[in-house]
Amino acid sequence: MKELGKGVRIRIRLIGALFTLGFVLVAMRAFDLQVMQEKQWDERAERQHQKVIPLTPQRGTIFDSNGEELAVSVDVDSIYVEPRKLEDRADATQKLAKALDLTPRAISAKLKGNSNFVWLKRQVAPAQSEQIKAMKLNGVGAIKEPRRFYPNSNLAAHLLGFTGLDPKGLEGLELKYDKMILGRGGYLVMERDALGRGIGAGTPQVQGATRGHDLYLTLDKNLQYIAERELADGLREADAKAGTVVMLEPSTGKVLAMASFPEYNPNALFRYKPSQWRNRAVCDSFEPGSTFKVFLMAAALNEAVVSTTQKIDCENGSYRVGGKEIHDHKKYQKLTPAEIIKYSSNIGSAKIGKMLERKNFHRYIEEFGFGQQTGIDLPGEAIGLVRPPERWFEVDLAAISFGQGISVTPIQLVAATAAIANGGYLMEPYIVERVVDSQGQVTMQNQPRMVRKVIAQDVAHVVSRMMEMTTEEGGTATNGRVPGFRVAGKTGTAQKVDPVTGGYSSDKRVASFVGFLPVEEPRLVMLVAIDEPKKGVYGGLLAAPVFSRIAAQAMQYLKVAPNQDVPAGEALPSLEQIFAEATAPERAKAQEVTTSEASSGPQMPDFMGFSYRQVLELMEERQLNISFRGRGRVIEQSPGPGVAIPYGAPVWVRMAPPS
Amino acid sequence: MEVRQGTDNSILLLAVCLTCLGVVMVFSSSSIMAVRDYGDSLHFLKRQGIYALVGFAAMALMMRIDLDILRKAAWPVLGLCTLLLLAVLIPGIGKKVGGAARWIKIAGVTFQPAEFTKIGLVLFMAHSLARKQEKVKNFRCGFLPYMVVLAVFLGLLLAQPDLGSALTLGIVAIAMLLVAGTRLRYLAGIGLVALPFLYFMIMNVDYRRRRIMAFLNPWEDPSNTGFQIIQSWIAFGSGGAFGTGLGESKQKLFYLPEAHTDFIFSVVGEELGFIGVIVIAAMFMLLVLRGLRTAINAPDEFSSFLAFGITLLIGMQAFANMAVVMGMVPTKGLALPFISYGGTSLVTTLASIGILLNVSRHLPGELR
Repeated sequence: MKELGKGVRIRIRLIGALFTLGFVLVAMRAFDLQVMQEKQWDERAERQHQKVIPLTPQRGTIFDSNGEELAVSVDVDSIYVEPRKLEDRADATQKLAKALDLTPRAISAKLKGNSNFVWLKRQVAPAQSEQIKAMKLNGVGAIKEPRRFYPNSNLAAHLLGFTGLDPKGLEGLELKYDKMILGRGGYLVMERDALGRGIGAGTPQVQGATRGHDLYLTLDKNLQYIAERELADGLREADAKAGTVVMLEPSTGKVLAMASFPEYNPNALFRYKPSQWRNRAVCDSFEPGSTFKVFLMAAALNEAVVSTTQKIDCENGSYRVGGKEIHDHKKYQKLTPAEIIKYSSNIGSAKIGKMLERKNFHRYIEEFGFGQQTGIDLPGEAIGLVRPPERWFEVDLAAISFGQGISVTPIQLVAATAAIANGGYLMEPYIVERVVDSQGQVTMQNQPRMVRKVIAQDVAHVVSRMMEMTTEEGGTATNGRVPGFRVAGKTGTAQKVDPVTGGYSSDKRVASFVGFLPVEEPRLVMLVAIDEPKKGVYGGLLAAPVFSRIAAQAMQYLKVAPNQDVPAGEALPSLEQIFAEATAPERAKAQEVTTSEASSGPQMPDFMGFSYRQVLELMEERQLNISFRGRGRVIEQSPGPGVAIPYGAPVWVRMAPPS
Repeated sequence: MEVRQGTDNSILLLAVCLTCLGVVMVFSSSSIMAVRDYGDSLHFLKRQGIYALVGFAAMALMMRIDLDILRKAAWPVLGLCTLLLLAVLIPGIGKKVGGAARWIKIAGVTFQPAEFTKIGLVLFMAHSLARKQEKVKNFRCGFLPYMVVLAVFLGLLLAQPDLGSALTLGIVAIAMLLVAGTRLRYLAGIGLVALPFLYFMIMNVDYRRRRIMAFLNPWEDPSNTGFQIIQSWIAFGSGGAFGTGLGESKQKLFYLPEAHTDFIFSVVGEELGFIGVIVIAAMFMLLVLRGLRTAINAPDEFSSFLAFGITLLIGMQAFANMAVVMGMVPTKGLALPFISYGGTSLVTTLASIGILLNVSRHLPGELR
């Protein structure tokens, strides 16, 4: 046997060195791939391993100024299927169809295809979800998704707006503040293998969901309630088809109440026509009629083209301007400016308009905010119609002086009146007080914003006093009085433009009243407009009483002490009286969504999202006992909605704090 | 198992560790596939466990066998290997899997003759080169015969076809010739002759050409030809420094082709991370260095060449596999010794480790 030669040893060592080099290269490559490029490959891996199903975002809550909930998101179950995990497809289809009230064909269509995950039915009733869960089918599950719920039903519906079945805001505040209210939906993340099948037996994970921000409104739910109730009553009395009430705080521009009619229930949106969704207070414009005279008077006094003591010849009720005859409803001779307002003289107004001149008048119209958006934080605000003064003929100047040939929105009219009430400052109306994120941090705080000073303070006071005279003996708005308070206001009655003839319609009118109280230090300014009343036409007769009723209750509610004698038989309503009536119609409305199917015997209403108090009221009415589990809002109930309650059966609701 | 005095314990320890690690990784990478295909998550684990036991037995046997007996068996083994390689090509005896006839079934045992051939050729060359001594520099006596044998074996392997084994065999044979002292110009000459053949072998076979192309630019067709290597990169990359944890690989869920055989190292990379990769690579490197040390210090040329050939065989395959799964060289079917699932490979690898350990026993006293 021969020992190894020296050359052989060297060559073997050389091979050893080559190997070492090779393994060092492998190690470097591994370092590069696994340490340097880790993130990049990790992302690729995640992309290929995960199937992501977007979920409905959680919307924030909308609260009124007292922290009462106006719009909430309630978690309800959505049923999904992972078709590949289904064991007996035919059997499951039959069972699911029965439980979810779907046709077997619709279900098998969903189960077809190569999908890992399909929504079977989203946002199902708790009873259905309960049934599904009881079946314990492999591959069928429920995931909580938020559903928008308006606990007060019709209350402030036009203002709040609504959302689609997907959670995007479509109208009102829900639309205007959608970006803030809408949370991030998050995702259902399912792991999958290369063959596209879900990995793991567990339920899919929800990731990245964040809650939307909450809105706190300037709106007061109780004032809103009063306004809606009285408007509805007023419209019924006037046999009118539509109407609106807008109530602001004059010193700040805060919206305290905003009601429109016809109304709708956002919880059962599909039952209403889109015309019923319209927020008339900001989206519609109308001819203001005589209410516009106060702005003419304010402008004329501010420009000093007329003095308060000046006597203006009202031509005994008939006066020709630019070839057209204008009339007063009574024959007046010489009137002071205050009397022109008190008696609402068209001829006197036309004469003052002429003194003021077109350009000046137009400037004040714009400064009072007409012909432009007020900037209120609601979508779809109309601007009305204010023609440029170059195109006003003499007759136009006269007509505009008493509020014809011009159109304004209710919110513009109220905001402009607020400028008279608060000493001359046009305030931008707003409805959202603040926006608060899910951690309770204030992300946006609205402050009162003055648009401009329109008239001098003393002029504002003089005009206020003139408006107060309309509610005094002999004035046009004695029905607008509120016992115990000095009220300033102005009636308006305008013919509507006939869309067919283009001229004024003989029978279609808008009767309105705009005013504020108490005159010394106004707490609220309000417009009541009644559209196309069939019984009577005059604002003083139709709109002023509604104003009076709302204002009286509002003063009580706001605890403003009366400083005038209350005439006998005109006592202010007590708070108990105001809200004792409150529950009955509210309950009726709340029921509308839920138990529409009539049947004999007591029926279980749909309590989803109801509060303890609301549930209790409804059950008391039915004289039934109910047990409560948990606190907050109803998330589950037994028996299911619409199901007849068997005698002696356990009736319960499960509640959870709104998420 | 009894360890004889003088045996290189580090080689033994590395071989045992790598084998055990392999069994674990085979289970981790195959269990889900095993459920799908065999309804038993332990299907591959059980088998690899049995192969490991058989392999350890073969290793123990080879450690104790007299090297002279082994040397005398060199020619018969060479003949047997040739017969097996021929048999594999005969329809009915050879078993075709995926278009390649690589398996043969004798007495109920299925195995790959190519794995035997590797060790058989090493044994033959070690014996022959040691016998010829100075004559290896002679072309007709020391070079041509090996080329003839190699040509026959390579021809038979390519007929299967098994390019990976053929390349391994060719490289190991040439390296052994080189170490034994063959003139470089012969090797250069044979290289020049072989190159066009190699090119033809690769570029004329569609799937091989596609693999080369995929290696050069995997992103050109990431869902098809580039799929394997990209999936392997994703496995390594998403493993990161410390891995996703044993059993946590997602790439093994049918993203990686043959996760329990050729691409098992990618699963290691994903589950055990850079740390695991480095540790395993270092173990192989240590094994190679210990093997080469054994070769250098062996008492005679035969055992020296034998130890060298065995070390090279294992080291080459380990390096090639790692380089392939990391996309450093084009994809070709090569198992990672000790780790990859496969009975023939594991048993022959452990048997050759037994021979290596046998040689290490005979090292001069001071090196023990």
